[in-house]
Amino acid sequence: MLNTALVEQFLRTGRVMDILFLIFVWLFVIYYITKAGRGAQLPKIRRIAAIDAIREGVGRAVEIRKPVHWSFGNAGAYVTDQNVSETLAGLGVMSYTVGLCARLGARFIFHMPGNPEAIPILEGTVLEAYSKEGKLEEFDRRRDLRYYGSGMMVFTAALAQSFMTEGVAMKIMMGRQPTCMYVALEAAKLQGAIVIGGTARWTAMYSFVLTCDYLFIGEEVFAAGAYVTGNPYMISSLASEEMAKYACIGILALGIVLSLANINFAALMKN
Amino acid sequence: MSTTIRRDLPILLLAIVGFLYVAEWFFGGNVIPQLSTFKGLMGTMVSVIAWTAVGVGTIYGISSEYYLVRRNRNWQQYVTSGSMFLMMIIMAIIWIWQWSGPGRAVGYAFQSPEWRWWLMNVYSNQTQAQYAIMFLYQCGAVYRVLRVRSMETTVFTLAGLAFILKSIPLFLTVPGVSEIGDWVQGAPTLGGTRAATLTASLGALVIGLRALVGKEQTTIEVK
Repeated sequence: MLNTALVEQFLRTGRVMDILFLIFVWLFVIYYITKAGRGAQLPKIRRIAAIDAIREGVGRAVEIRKPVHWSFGNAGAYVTDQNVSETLAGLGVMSYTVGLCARLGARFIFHMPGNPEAIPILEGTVLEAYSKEGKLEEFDRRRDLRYYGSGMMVFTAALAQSFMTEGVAMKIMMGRQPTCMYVALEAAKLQGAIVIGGTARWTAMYSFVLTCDYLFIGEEVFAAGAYVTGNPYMISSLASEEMAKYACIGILALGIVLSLANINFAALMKN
Repeated sequence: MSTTIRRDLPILLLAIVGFLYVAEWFFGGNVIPQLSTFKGLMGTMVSVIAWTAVGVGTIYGISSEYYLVRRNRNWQQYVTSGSMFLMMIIMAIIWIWQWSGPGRAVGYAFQSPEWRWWLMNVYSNQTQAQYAIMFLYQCGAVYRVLRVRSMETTVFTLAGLAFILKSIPLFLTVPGVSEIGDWVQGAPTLGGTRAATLTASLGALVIGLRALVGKEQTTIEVK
């Protein structure tokens, strides 16, 4: 058993298991990133149906001459808390979608979230994707970058109005979502759009299942960015996530066995 | 602008602040109190930046609306944008008028009868109406999804029905309904929820670590 008094001189109470797990994950992240840097072979990522659907949707947008709409929800794209990871992952997929739109000639409309501190990174991502395709002049930021403030109901009404007046070939919504997603996604569906969603927030996943044709479920949101970019560093860190997952499964199995043997495993993990 | 200023410097700042935040979780409090002080200071800085951004966002919104009116010179656009600007001006006047009294704090206006009248009689009502529309859309989505077309939708429909029936008091008198509903809620739903939360948390952790070591494509893709 741990000498609690000794540990608490160096570490906050109840953080031993946290730091051990973090070090474990970190070692694997560094290992795989180093491996990617050497150009060694990396694990393959399986196909994600929603990514293929994005390609199909942009093609459809060009054919029927209707725009592709993207949003993170009226309160999505957090950049100041623990949800930053989800925002970064969503930006990777958005950059890919914008790049496809620019290359194939589809109009891209971005309904920005209400939190204005995210505007520079969001706007920058869109402009950069157009710039990479050499078609920056084709993007009318005054027309296609929309900002509605922080009201959820204003946001959903604006989206529904936009779908009806400008049309919608594909609607994508990624990131942590509030309840506004029903109106936004279902309105797009009623207008005949391909609807794609992705969230790692489990309370929102059920709603996405109801309204989306294709879905990034949970961790697929984080894998999607690596999949679309093909960046070896991003792929390599996914492998470390797999290792952490195996570790979690191992801990669960160990917990079951120890609990059956009347050993208080939960108390040990709280250290 | 050089890549040092546009890319390397922000990543360096991100890494320093990020690592200190992580360190505070483990070594803050009584172990190294300076880390907790630093975290508090950073929290204040974030609030300042966020509220400055709110001001910038308001200007951005007004500018967008202005250009929208210039592009669409028709009566519908005039009504939509005009009502928005009118509401904005009225709320601003009420706020300044209420706040300007002697010895009143900034937040005084939010308690005033005039402000509350606008809030309760104009804003809240349309919010309730929008919620009603949202649930209408939700019902439409549920109807579409709970159609049996494949093995997955069959399982989804049966599980959904079991849970819906369990939630209706009338059906609790039917033997087995409550037990099946409880099992759906307690076994597959809870297991799936925990698995989704766990794997999503791991994904978030790994992306966070990747960003801290400057290998996150989204933060480094500046040409």
